[in-house]
Amino acid sequence: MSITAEYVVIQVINGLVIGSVYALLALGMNTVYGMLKLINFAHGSVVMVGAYVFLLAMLSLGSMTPIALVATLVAGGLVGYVLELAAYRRLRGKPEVSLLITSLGAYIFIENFVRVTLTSQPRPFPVIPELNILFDVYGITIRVVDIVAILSGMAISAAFVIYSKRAKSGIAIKATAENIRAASLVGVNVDRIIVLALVLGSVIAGFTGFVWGVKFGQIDPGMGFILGVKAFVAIVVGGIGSIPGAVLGGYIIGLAEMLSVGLLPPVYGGYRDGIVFFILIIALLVRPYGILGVKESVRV
Amino acid sequence: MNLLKLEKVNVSYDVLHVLRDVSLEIEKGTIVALIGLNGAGKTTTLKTIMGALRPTSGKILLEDDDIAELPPHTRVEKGISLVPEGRELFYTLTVKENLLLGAYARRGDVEQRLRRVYELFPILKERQNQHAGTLSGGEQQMLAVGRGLMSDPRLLMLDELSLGLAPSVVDRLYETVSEINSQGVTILLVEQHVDLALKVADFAYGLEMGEVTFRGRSQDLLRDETIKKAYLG
Repeated sequence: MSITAEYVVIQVINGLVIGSVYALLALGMNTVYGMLKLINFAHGSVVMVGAYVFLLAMLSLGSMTPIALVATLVAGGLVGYVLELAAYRRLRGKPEVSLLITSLGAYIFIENFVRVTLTSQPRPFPVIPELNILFDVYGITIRVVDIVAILSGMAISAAFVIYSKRAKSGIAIKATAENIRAASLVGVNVDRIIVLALVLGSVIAGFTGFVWGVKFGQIDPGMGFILGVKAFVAIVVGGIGSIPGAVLGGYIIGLAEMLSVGLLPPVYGGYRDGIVFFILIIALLVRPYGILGVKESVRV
Repeated sequence: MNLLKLEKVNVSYDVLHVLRDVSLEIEKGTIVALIGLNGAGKTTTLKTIMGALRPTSGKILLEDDDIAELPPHTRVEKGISLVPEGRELFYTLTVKENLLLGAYARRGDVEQRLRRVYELFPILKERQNQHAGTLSGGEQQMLAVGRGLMSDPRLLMLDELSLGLAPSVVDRLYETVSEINSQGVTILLVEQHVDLALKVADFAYGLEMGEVTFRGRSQDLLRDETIKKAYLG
């Protein structure tokens, strides 16, 4: 197959779509990492839960897309809330590795809970006709879902950046992510801020489950793990602690993944995850604190 | 009239007993200094009053309320504020964001408090949109004090304001501390430069190995031969 300009544009669009998903996941994981020093693997499971809740809601409510979408967001937020109250809060002040193992355990539990109660087999995602409309721009065929995914990814990311600059609670999230002890001393109720950050991030993660389902048409209980890991790679590449960095990292990883899959000969298709980690290694060598990250040395 | 009173407060880190039966009285409107060598328990005392550490026994009375079991953010609401050792600013946030966080727990006229802080430290207004990490050491300490004032505290605690700063900057900071006190804020300060602490404070407590070993009016302590020998060289 020859590589045409149209083909490259399509791969760029695909890269921006999955980049949006990585960016949105990175937003939530980034704040939680700052606050708890936790790589929240369970965040990936929220994507899967969101996708399945949407599927189940559509099946039981008879294809009421808006209601199913609301249920998806609520379910996502609920997972974040329960994780914090049932697991993470009890480990405050304990070694970080306990938290990491707990999060991994929560991920494994949630994935297998869905396998046992529903099915291990991939399921087709409900078709939403409005999002599957195709249209032609200069000979390039685009689906509405691509536009929706990219625009919502960028809009939610921008909204989160503005929220963290303007809103009182948004500034408190940033402060708590930078220095939880100082935030507590100046009067921030850090337990409440951690809940807020986890719930906000999880609502967004639930939404990405919906986007992923519509885009790829099929979901399975194991879909979340690699998404969470790649979102964390995005955070490291973009700069740990930086909200715009997390978003930028998400798009870089998404674009690099899709362009490498699309432009390299097909035999390299199986290496798409490997390529993401290759980027991570390069990033760590060239700019270990990330593109927009701050060197730790500012801490006096 | 006491604003804050500690009654036989004991604090332990694991097996280490760091405060033993510490009792303090801080009269409203005064400046009180805690003096003592490194490791005597000065910072621990401030952290315990703030709620970052919980006493194993004893009372912490703010006026007549026992606040010993309250979390830090509730104590800020009640009018206690700490400028911690090493400043603990949010370095990736702007000067203004740092100040606004100081007002987080205590609602009220935040704009007016901001004006008051900018009047005390005009340089902070100039730099309000800069990241705190870009400030000089002296400016960072001003920001830490300003952030501490943003909750409009009744009791402002200052931990080692002078740490790592040039003497001229330290003098200016302590002039401002006196000014803040004259506006009606009670101050509890920890300072390694004992002569400086005694000059600013009305009253002082001496801590040794987690115990209060002496107390007195600063001007009396400044003349006391044993204290001169132990702390002033």
